[in-house]
Amino acid sequence: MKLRTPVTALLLMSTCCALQRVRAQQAFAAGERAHRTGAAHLLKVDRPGRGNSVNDQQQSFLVLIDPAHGGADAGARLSDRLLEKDLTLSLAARLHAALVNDSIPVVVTRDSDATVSNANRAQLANRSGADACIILHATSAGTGVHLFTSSLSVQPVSAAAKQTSASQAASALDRRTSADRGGSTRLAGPNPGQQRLRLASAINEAFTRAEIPTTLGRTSLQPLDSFDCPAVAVELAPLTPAMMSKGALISDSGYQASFLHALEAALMAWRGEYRSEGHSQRNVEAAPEPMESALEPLYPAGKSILGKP
Amino acid sequence: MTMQRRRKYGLSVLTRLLLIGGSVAAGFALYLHQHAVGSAAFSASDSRASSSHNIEQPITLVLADDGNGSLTPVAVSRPLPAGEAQQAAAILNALFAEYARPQSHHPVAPGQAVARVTLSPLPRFVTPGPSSELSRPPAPEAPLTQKVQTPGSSPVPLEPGGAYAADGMPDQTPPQGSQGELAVVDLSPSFAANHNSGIEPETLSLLSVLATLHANLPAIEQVRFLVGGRPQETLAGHADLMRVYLASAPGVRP
Repeated sequence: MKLRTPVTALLLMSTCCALQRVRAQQAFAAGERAHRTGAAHLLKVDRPGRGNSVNDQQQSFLVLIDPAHGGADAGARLSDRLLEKDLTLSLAARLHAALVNDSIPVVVTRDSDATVSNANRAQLANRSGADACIILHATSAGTGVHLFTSSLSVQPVSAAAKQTSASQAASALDRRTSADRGGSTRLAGPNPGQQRLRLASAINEAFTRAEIPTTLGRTSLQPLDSFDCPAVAVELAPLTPAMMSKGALISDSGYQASFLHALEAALMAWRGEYRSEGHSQRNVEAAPEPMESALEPLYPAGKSILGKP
Repeated sequence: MTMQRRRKYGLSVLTRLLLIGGSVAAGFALYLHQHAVGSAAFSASDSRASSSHNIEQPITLVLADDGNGSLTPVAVSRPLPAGEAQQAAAILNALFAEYARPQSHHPVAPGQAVARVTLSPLPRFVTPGPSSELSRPPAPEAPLTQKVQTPGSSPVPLEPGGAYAADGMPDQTPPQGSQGELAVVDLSPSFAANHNSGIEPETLSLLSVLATLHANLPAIEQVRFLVGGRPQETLAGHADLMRVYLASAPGVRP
């Protein structure tokens, strides 16, 4: 008799976890048939409305979603019943479905509770040539949404090609990052450092419109540091009690829906910005540009979150 | 008669033996007592000497706030030991003791967070040639910066009356010809195991350490982290601990 309650609680907990995983996998299956099995299939992207001409390929817009953790790496324990790896998978599945519905092709780094190394995630991202890379995380600390870009400086290929032996030695020093790049040779297009800041800015604006507080910063995080694409780590955190209208917990479905809607809107806006530039960010030979300056503004003029032009 | 003599002789021998044994025992007891008193006296004097080294000194703790992602310098006074490395460890443990308080905005589990700090001089920067990798200083990590925005409100300043740097990115150029130091901060395994898992809380802990070291011991220019004396990939599943970081005051105007 005494054992009943804990046993029931354990059964409920395990059922909830299993249901969450099943739900995530079902969402993936419903959202994108091409991503059902194995990492090798993940790059077989269905590109809605995409032609075969070089021009069409140049104009394509591809999003990579990286649900953090998975398999043996559970990530943060968000509550007694919710692990970070399960929530990020569930969020990725729903974002995936929404973007495919918007005719945006998507690549995911995992579509099941599988262990995927950071090196493999970086390899997938860098070979995909994605125009936006979103790494999904979740934490029980802090509030709202935390947006992070890599704190590493990057430089475009054209500038890198002119480097002296001194800088070759410098890049050789960063062995771990180079290895994790997964053989990528692409750092083309407009300054990648600027690109990721612009993407972060677009996401920040979308969350601000959705009245979800955001914290922005730079961090050193794998595989974020090894992504060649414009990449932002988006970390979902609980809302404070003052924001109860959306639900305080990250497990709240209404809050999650608001989060995903804002993220979808941000990527739509980013696609519009990408197309309005009238060139492929993956194919244009960039003019020589300076390295991302140490004094470069975090956000471009007119988009400063500080209200300073 | 012979028997009586023998008994007397035996008794006298026994008495002498008892007396000698008692004397030895008393002497040994006295020795032990004196040794104990001496040790206590030595410990006391050692303790007094130690506490005399731990002079109360003003320090700056750069405190993180998970709620808004801010870092706030706070002036406090703490007893510090002699020696720069010992001071660095003491300052960082004072920082994490603040976080272990019940009302902390960046909660961590109580206990010693930093086992030790080791300092070593940075090598002079030599313009590297094709085979001069080993003569270069460790590749520094770009400082991390935090900026905060809450819809409908102004960003939270890093310190009262302070301002965000417009760039938010302090100079990350490696110091050339530097006479600075590399600090290796060895975190305790229990601290890392109990740390809140997440990009923001882990990043804020690192930022807080870097900024606090910079504020109190400006000779420390670069920092790397160990956990239990060994390199560890991340602090608690997120923030990269395999890099060398610049000790700086991120996001605050000099």
